[in-house]
Amino acid sequence: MNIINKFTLKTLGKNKVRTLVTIIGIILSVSMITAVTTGISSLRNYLVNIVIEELGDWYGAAFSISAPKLKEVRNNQEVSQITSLQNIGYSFLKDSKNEYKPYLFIGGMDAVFAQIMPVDLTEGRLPKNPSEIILPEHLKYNGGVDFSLGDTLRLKIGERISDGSRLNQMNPFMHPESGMTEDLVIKEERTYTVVGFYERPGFESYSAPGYTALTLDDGTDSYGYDIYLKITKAKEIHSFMRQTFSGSGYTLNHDLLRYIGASGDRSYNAVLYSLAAVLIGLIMFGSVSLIYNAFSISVSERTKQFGLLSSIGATRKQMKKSVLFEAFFLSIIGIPLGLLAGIFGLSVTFHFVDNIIASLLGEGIDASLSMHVSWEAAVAAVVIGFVTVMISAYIPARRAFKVSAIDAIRLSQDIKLKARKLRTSRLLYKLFGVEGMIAKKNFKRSRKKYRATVISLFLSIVLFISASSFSAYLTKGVSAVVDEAGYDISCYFNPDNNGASVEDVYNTLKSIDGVTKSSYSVIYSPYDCKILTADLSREYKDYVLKNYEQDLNQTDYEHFYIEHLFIDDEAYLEYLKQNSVEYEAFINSQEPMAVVVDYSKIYNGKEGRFYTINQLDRSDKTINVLFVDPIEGYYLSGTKENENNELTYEFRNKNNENDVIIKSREEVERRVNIKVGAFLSNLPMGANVNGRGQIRLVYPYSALKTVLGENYTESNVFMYFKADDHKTVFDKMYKALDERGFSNAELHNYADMMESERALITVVNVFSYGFIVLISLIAAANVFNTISTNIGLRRREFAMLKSIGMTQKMFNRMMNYECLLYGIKGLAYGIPVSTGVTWLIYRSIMQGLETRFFIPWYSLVIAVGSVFAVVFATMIYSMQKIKKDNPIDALKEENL
Amino acid sequence: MEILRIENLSKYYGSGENIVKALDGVSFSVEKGEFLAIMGPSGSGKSTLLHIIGGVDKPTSGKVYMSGQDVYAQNDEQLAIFRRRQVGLIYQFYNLIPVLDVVENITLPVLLDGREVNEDRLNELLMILDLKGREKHLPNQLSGGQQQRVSIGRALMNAPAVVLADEPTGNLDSKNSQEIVELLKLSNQKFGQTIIIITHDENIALQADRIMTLEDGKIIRDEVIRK
Repeated sequence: MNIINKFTLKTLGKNKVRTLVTIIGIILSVSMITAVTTGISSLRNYLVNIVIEELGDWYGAAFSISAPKLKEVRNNQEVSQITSLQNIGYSFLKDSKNEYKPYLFIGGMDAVFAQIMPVDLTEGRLPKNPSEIILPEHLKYNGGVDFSLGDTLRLKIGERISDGSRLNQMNPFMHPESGMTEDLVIKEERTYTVVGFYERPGFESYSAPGYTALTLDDGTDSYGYDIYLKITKAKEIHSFMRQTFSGSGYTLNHDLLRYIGASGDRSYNAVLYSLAAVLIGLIMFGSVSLIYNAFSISVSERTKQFGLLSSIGATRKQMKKSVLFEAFFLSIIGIPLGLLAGIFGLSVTFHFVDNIIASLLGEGIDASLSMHVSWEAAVAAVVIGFVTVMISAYIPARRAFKVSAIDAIRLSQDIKLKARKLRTSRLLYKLFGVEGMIAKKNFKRSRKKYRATVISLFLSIVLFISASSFSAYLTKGVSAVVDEAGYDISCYFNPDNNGASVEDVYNTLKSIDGVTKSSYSVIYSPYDCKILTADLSREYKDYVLKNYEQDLNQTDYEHFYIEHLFIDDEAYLEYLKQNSVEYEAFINSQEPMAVVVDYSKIYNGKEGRFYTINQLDRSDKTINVLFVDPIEGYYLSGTKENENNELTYEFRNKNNENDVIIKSREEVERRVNIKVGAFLSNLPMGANVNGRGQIRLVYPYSALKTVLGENYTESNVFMYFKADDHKTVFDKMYKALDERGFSNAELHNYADMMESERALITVVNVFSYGFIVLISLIAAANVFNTISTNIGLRRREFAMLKSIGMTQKMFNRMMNYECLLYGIKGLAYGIPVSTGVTWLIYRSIMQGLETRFFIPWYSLVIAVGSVFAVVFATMIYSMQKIKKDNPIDALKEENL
Repeated sequence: MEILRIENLSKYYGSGENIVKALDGVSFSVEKGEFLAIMGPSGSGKSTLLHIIGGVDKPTSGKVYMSGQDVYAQNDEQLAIFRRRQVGLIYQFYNLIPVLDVVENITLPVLLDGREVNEDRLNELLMILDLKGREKHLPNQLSGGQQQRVSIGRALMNAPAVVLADEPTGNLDSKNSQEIVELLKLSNQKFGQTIIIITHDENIALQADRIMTLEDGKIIRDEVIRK
């Protein structure tokens, strides 16, 4: 080892704490980069596994290929993996309830088919000879044909022929309704034993006419084969398939190709990689500033050393090498540890979120999120980490070499002072005395020394606040999609088509054990309606004028979507009570009043933000509405002026576009004054917030006939239930509806959906908080390093002050004041910039989501608190070390 | 009148076989207004003695009485105040605060003491030290001799009981050295300032009232050459 490198190692050894902090910085930064790159590669691997699980592990597939062609493809050098399914033929399923799937399709698997393709047994075993067969599960639940293990099937098997050509699984069933026909030409009869059942296969398309039953390839080659293959160069699959299978049908496994980055559609990978790029950018920014500072301090300490060396003839190249050697040495220790720490941290994280993610994806998918350390990811992390360290080391080194040898020995560059006129305020003097004055002058006159600390504080604040707003917006973004609706299970019911009444269904569901709360509502939306513009609020008119250049004061009526919401009386009372509305007047009245919800949330695409507006003039307790009455079987297609310049309404037949009815205004327009009992801003359970031009009228269910007329028949009934255990209750409800034959009641388990959405939030939180914690660690290490070194460099100055009679108390006061200056400076720059960055984050990720701009206040509090905590803690730590100094020894040090 | 009394002062470094006796039972006293020069080879204990007198180093045993007060009977806080009011230290390497200008450096002990600066004394000192017109200069804008004059100003500003100068001319050429000695003599005569100076320079020592020579931590000669 040459002498300069020996010097370097000695310096590192002497400054153990700083060396340690630098190495920790490298470890942190490399582990974060590793976590990002490995996380991305694991995620990609995971997605690939899911696709393989669902569709199979193949790039291209071709159907009904002849046996000689199959042989040719099998021998093709480019093909790296291939499996085939012999098309044995179709057999008519006379019991199939699905009119588009009237067949059983029998396929003969080759030896590897079951491994490559998603053949997931749910019962029994795979066939061992060509007379054994496994059946797909959906044969029962979709087709209604029930077989059990051990059943023997005698099947008349043949080909589907239409217009003289043979059809395969890619050709949907030619339903007589489509005007085309097909025939099943029976060729043979075979006998199979059912040995197993398997999950609905992903390779059977939804429009395939036959349920896919699998047996083994019987060696005959009369029928043709479906083949699934991979080639060595995945990117060329498209042209390969086109050339090889010209004339016959083929398809590509687009999802798989997309995830492995071999498809033309790069948007998915682009999102993934640009996310990674942003994260890595942030991390590099944070770590460069940390490691840079460490090196910058080390270099400035060693400037004198460099000067000495260069005065005795060391070349610039040698010294540059020595700094790079230092960086290299620290990297050798830090990078491998960082790599391990990153992989370890990520696998721990994966371990904890795996269950959550599994619940997110629902049952039936066996692929699990596990660590997938690809060598590309590891190499990327190492290279990025190394580049980070090198950048950090090189910048300060370059600066040091610009200094001439003698200046370096005198160290006059680093303490370039300017005799600025400084007025220290009287208040400062009163509060902090002469110590404050000295601190302030130190701060003002040798800015360079302090800049490193202030900049690292500033960066830390910006990084921390940006990272936390990023995660806050991400969480907000996800939860904006997730509505806390106050119910677990909903049921949509349309009594029109069925004999059952609303009460029948509602009481059936309500009486189920475990239901804790329930309500129902009927939604009625009149066809076309307008509101007198005089009833609209000024705020709304202004908004429309400003954004749509439409002056509502110029027109009489404005189109509105008015939804009548009838909720059961009990829930209605509670809704009124919650909003502190006197409720006697609303119930059992001859002339029921409406609760009007005119509050709306309008997304302004131009400004990229949401406006919340009360659309109606709330001082006026009646709304003048103009309804256009519908005509049975027709829909309103538009308005027209007739030859007398009168407005007319045009209705068209729902089934026949050409059947048009023109009605005059008098015939269909109906003017109604709606009495408003109260204007409210929040909606009852189950309803989403209004958009622009939409209002809700909320009535008790008992007022349904009074409001809508005796002839109104209920439709669009929504029932909401809260339950102790939504899964069991849901199952019971399902059974109850089934038993009583209420087949058209649609049951939704909202809570189940919510649970997986909440799981998504949890995953987002786990990752973003992990990120914030690490970024904060980097930031804290950064500040610690700069301040402690800075104090170390000022030992002599402190000794001087001590020797002329500064007491410990005065020292503490001086240092406190310095801390305050650091903190305030850092925050003064940091907070405005973080606000700006947060605004950018808001603009970029909140596009289209209903959130107003905000800065997470807790992150501000934490930032301010921890800035001072870290600064003061570091000061105390460093002063403790200095306190033990004998001033004489310190004075003898040649530093400064 | 006796202003400083040293009784059996010892300072040891290390222990056992490696013990280094920097000072070994030194006793003497200094009268108010005396100008004492301490000589001796490197490592004879001169600087250690000076630092212990100045309250910046602690003795292993023995006592230092300044104006009748036992210096090392005080706690750290009192010791700091003692240094501020009773002692003026002048170093070979000036040791000025780089961020403070000339006036600020000179008045620092007064400011630390929380007292108002006596403008008359400051002006007088600036005049004597030939620093008029350089009040707002920072140390790195001054020559070595100027910087040492500032540090003398700082030592004298508080009119301490004793001014301790540790080779104040060691870093200066002969012209500047003579100037510094003249200044110290002037303050000795004009303000009756007690001065203890360490020097290797025979010529400078001969300008003092009394010369003391140390060797291996012991006083080997102590003679009054002027009364």
